[in-house]
Amino acid sequence: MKRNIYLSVIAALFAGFTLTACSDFLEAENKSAGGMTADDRLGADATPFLTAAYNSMKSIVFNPALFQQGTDLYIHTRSKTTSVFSEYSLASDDGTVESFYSNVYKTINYANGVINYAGSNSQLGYEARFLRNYGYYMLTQLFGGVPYVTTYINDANRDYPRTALSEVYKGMIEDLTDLYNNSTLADQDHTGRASKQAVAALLAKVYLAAGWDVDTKYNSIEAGTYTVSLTDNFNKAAQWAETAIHNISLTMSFEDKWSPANEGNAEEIFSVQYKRDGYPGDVLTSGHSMQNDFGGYYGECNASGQKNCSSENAQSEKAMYLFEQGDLRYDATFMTTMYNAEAVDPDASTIIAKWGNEGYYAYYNVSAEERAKDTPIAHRYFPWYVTEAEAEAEFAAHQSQYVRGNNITEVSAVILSLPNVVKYTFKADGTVNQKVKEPINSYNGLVNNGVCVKKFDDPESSQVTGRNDYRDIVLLHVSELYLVAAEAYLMAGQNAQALDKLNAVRKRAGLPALASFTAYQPEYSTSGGFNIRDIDLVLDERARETYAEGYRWMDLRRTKQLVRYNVEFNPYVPNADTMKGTGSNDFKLYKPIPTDELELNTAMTADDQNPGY
Amino acid sequence: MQANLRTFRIALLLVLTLLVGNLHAQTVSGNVKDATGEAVIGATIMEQGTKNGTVTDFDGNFTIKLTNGRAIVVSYVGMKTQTVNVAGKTNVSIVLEDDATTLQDVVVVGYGTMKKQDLTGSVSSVNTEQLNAKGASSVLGNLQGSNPGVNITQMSGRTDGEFNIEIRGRSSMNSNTTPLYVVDGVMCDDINFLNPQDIERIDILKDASSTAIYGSRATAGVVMVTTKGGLNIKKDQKPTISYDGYYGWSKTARMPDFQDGQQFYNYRFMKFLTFGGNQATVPVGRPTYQLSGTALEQCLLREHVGSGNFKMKEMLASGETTDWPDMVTQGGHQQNHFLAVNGGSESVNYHFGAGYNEVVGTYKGDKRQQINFKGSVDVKVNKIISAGFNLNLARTEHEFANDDAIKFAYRMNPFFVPYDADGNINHKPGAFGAIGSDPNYQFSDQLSALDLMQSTNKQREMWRLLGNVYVKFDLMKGLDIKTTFSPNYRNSRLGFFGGYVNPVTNSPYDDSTYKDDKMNEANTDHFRNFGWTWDNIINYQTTIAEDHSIGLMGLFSMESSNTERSQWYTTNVMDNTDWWNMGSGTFNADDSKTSYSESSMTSYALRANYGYKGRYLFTGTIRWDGCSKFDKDHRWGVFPSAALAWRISEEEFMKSLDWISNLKLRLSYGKTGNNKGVGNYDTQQTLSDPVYYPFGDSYMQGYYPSSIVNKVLQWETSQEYNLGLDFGFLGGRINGSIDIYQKTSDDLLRRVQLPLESGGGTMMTNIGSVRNRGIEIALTTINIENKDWHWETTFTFAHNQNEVRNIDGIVDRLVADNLFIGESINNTYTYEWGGIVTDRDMTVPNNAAATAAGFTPGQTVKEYDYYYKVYGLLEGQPWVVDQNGDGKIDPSDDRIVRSTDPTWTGSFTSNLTWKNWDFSFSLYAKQDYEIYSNLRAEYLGMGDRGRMRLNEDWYIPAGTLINVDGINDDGTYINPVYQTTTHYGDFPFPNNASANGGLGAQGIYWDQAKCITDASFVKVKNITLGYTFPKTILSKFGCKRLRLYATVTNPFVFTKYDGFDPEWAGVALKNDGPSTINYQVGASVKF
Repeated sequence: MKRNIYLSVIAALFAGFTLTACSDFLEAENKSAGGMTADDRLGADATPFLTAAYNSMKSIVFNPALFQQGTDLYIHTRSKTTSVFSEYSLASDDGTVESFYSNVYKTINYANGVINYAGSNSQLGYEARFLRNYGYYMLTQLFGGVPYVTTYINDANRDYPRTALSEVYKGMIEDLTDLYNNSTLADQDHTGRASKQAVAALLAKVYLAAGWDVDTKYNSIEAGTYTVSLTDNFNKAAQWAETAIHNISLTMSFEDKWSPANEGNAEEIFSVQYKRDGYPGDVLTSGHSMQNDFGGYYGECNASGQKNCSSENAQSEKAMYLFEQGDLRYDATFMTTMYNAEAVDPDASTIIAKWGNEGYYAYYNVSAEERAKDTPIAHRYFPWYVTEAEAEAEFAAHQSQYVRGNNITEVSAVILSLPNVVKYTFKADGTVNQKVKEPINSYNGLVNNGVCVKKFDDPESSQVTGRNDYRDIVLLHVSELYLVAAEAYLMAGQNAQALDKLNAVRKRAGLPALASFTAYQPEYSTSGGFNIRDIDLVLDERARETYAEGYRWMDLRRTKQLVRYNVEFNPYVPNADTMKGTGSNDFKLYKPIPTDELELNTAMTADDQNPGY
Repeated sequence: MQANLRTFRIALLLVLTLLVGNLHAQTVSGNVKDATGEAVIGATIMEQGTKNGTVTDFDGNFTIKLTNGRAIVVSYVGMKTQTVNVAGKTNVSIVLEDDATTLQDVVVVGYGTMKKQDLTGSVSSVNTEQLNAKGASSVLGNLQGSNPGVNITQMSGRTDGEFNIEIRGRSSMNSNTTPLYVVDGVMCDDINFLNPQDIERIDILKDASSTAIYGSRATAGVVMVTTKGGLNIKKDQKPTISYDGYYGWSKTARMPDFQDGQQFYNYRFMKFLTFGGNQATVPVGRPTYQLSGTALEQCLLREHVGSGNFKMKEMLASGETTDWPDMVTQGGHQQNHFLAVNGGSESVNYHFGAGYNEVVGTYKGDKRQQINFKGSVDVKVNKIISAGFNLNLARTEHEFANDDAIKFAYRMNPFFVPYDADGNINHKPGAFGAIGSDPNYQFSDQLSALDLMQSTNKQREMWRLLGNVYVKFDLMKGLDIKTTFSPNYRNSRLGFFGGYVNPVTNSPYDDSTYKDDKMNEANTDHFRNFGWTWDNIINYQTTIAEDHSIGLMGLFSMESSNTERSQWYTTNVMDNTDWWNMGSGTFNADDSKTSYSESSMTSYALRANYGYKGRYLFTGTIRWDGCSKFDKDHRWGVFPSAALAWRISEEEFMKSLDWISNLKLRLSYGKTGNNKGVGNYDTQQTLSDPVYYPFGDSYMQGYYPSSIVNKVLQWETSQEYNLGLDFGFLGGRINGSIDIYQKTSDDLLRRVQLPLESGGGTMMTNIGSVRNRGIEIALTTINIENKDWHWETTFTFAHNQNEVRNIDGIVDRLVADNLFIGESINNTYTYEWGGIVTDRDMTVPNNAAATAAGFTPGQTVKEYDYYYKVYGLLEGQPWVVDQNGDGKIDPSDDRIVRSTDPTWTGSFTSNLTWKNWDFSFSLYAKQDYEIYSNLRAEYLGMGDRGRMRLNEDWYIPAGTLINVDGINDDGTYINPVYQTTTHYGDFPFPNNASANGGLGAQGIYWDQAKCITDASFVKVKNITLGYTFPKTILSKFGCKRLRLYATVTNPFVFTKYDGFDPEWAGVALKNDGPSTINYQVGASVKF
């Protein structure tokens, strides 16, 4: 009896639980998202998505391996191994290329996502469309035609055929033109948002690229010769560049333009934003490293107070002689005097390098008068045109500044000339100890070799290594658009207008106007077969005006001078064949489509690979 | 448990019968012996059904006056309890059998136990003695090599030494192959929190017919762990106290051959050589080499530019070089203690205990301490209700040596100077300041490993609680219902502190690699998981017409689990406060985060067993699982299985063959699932963590969808066939089993790389198919068995063939994911290193590239001519195999796939006893496979010339300058030493003349190819010598058993692998640590 009672109670309970194991029990609640899906949240307000899209630009706008290496201006020094980018041994499975490629698409897809949620004709959609086009501009300049996707990818579809380059340009031009004419974007913006001025600037660059890539054909890749079939795109490029220039004349000094105290200035059109104050995360690693990426190695930076550079992307021989005497851009681009830091007891538990009025950053934190008079010097770099007599007169006049001590055990000064660098070292009392003429190649193997770029310096850095540079990364600015215009006018056959634009840039640099393209005589030496042409002036002016900015490789490729310049000036490219694929007759004129793209994208096969890979 | 209660009920019936039938008094004397004929002292003799009892004396004798019974119950710990009918007798001789035999007869299966003879599936078991004989400080370490087809690999030599366990091959493209662990009926993720001494037995369910009862989590196999007290405490047992423990010492062993001072000097010298000037006079593929004055000064670290001593020469001459790895290693030790009490009466059984385990690692700063508590009580309330609980609690505290310090210690070459003249640490031991060289000449600014080691602190504390409470109703004969609630709790805190001021020595923390800011940093990571399972089981057992035995089981189960996590980061915290005063620092909002995640599951299962005359056995199971990880429409999965067994030896026609004691044929099929690797929200699109972007002066928060999700995600399913044969010959002297299986796993869950157009990233999908086929053999033989001697040996052998059958239905190879149809999932895909270009003759191969370069196939030429003209390689440079002979090395057609699975694994165990002595050892072997060694990648690269590396036999061309005392102003060498004849080393010639750090055109490919290496090994896992004291001596101290033993673990390893331990050769390098040899002495005592 008792047993039967148990039995029925248990059977009832068992059955009860089994049947009422309600479906709710199997619903997992996502408390971290307030129980909402991403779709719900972003559908309600896509603003955070646009912010993420802007933020994603950080990973694509600075990449010396892709943008600077393998050109005429940058070399590896000291013990740095030559990169595959410099010597054109780049393979299609290169990780740097792949992460760049997919990061650009990430920006594009975020932008398409914003458009998906907010609509293409909304303030959010307008800004997103600009970012998307900027992404495609980067991709086309490095890879040629790429899959042109303008819808948000939110599924696992793997079918994205490669779009012809001319089609990508066409799509971008339509989109950007509409954006300029019909959007509510602000006319100008200096806070980091897309503006009509930025749209015009990008449009000018797209037209210019289309002019070269679609309407201009190579005659000879090695010789860098070509024939222009149609000038429409170049004309359009010039017009839109004028629109983007916005009648802004180059009145600000070049030094001021790049001064850390002058961010967001009138010449900036669009820049990726960094801001140290208020960053809620790890401030020390969340900036970028542009200030550390162009120069030699200056020893134990924390102890010596010098900047920590990577020995990569240092000045090439051409870059040393690129700047003629009187070009104000030299001193504004390179740090020619590095100051000494006070020695402190290495056992004291205080911070050793005091980035204030000492060491490298004394340049920014000490008044010019004080600097010239009292601040001790660690290393001094004179450009090629300074004579030994001039340098020695300088040493005599400022002997006290060359006194050895503190953290620098050897104060040095050099004249960066070829074929030998003149290197002075100093005695403890500040008088010259030794003068050695060091062949440039062995000089490049030493510590403290060569100048570093100061354009991107952030004197607020609390450290000198890692990603602690919080200067905005300027992507579009007025004087570069002057040069876009100059190039477009030149290609459209309007040499006079082209020269006007070039002279405007040169005038600000303190140089005399050129009467004609042929009047240009560069100081760097060239081999017998290398004759200076009109396009070389444009490229040299771009090199001086935008040194260390991320344009060079794209400029050489666009203007069809990639092989000609590398063979002539890049020490890692001894002959044109170096730039061909292994066992191939094709030049590597683009970066490779990443192997993973060919593997993962079902619409692409090995035949879609760029020539030479 | 059920088995026990059944026995109990039968006993009860018996008592009742006896009570009625016999009511007169009687005196019985007797003697109790064990199987070896030795007297059992202190055995309990109880008159059945009464509280009347006695114990045996020193000679095993007893006398008992029976009040009203006819039977006595004889019990002794560790032995089978016997009920002896003494009706009409005055003297009895009783031989107690070892309990271990009982254990062997019963096997723990899902939701119950089975007699081994009734088993239809493939299950292998290990008991506590076998488990603990290995002497490892973790459960899985002890389990290694015990079961064929269970491939356990230690992942590092550190104290957190994780294990990778793979049962019958990898059946998922997802990297996770961890089986399901079931501890005393509770499912959990790992078992390393248990004290090895507390484990009674481990049963591993291998084939799908055994595992299918666990449905969607069973594909990778099921490991059933039974802790002591969990299964068989006998009724009426006197309280027993037992102690098991050991203390051991460990030392590093078989360190890779890192360069010593002279070797590093030789290497570095050559690494500064550049091309000589007279290249025109020698064949093009065979240049000469030279060293300039500046290079020599930089190479040998001269005191001043242009003057002074060469510091490396000076240090080498005076023997002032340093063995850096030695500075971060130490002699370690381990100890393990487990104290337990158990006993029982008619209605209550109990078992409780506590354990302590400590491992001090061979890296300075590596330490793990674990405390375990366990307790269990089972109560019989009345005839119908019984109830009980079981609880395991563990606290683990883990201190970690600084990973960077260890990494740097291996990188620092012997010329790095650890201490200055005053004995203080050189913060930058490879910089000019420490070495005394010119500021232009130094190795690097690398921070000292010693600094790092002292200035950081990393600790994890973890709590684990696992238990269950049950109530069971015996409703009628053969029918019972049991409901069990099992909570499972885990809490861990990982704390890290990096200090500018060293918390230990108060000396400055000059600079660091993890931070260059010289700020203190503290962070914590708290993790809390709580889950519960509620199992309701109904069981029915009956026998119809004597020949038909039927068993039915039904299960309804619910479970739920949720996880909280919080991570906090601060900088600038107060000195020496570890992570206990993070409020004093600057809070980092970007990295700090909290999260929550939950999942739940509902399951139903049925099992039916049928046996006919004990000859023909059938088992069928089916399970339905519903899981919250999947979308509503794809939530439920069904997992059936069926198995047949034929006990041939029970057939009449076999009875005459008395040399066959057991012969059983098993055939099974089952379907199982796997949902590991699917995140709790993988079918819901979630938001990313916030990003921050400033517009003008204000920061804004951004979010994006964290990934693309796959709504139609499904279970991974495997279908497995198993054919097995169990055999026993010569009265059990030869015992064993052979299993062959095929497991096909489809709809494999895997994160596939999304097309780059979506921004990269991955998405979980059900793609692909993998097949595992294999054979497993276990063979135990009793080679000698007599009064004094017993010698038993066990072999196991397993071979598994893994093959990808389908990737995604589209492609037959996916290089990005290392998947190739027809190859193993576990593989490497890279170049093949052919050799070094030498000055020997070779025969020109017949391929297009050779012809194109102007050679005639079959022609004899110098290697350096051939390789120069075809591939642009110079003498001494490595060449990789041009698989298609097209004259160029190309990522797309010159890489090859190689399996990293061993062709076979096996073990051999020998146990020899002589009187009271026992001697055992075991071997474990993994053979015939190649892995990609991250260690070789790290320590055999030739790009740099400042880091220490493995000492290899470098090729040196004849005429190469290999040492010099200096260079005169006119460029002539002072006391130059040249290589007189070519040294045919098997590693490339170090130099700095040509591309890729002197390696030449194929250097970047060789860099990968050189990492492929054979890692086959045979390990002697342990050698143990033990002595068990005779009971006659022990009983004087009231002691029932005492065994002392000494074990040495991992004393010998036979391998060609040149890195750390071959066992963890294939894992990602994270300072995996050297092999160790451990020496232990231990005791096992019972009172």
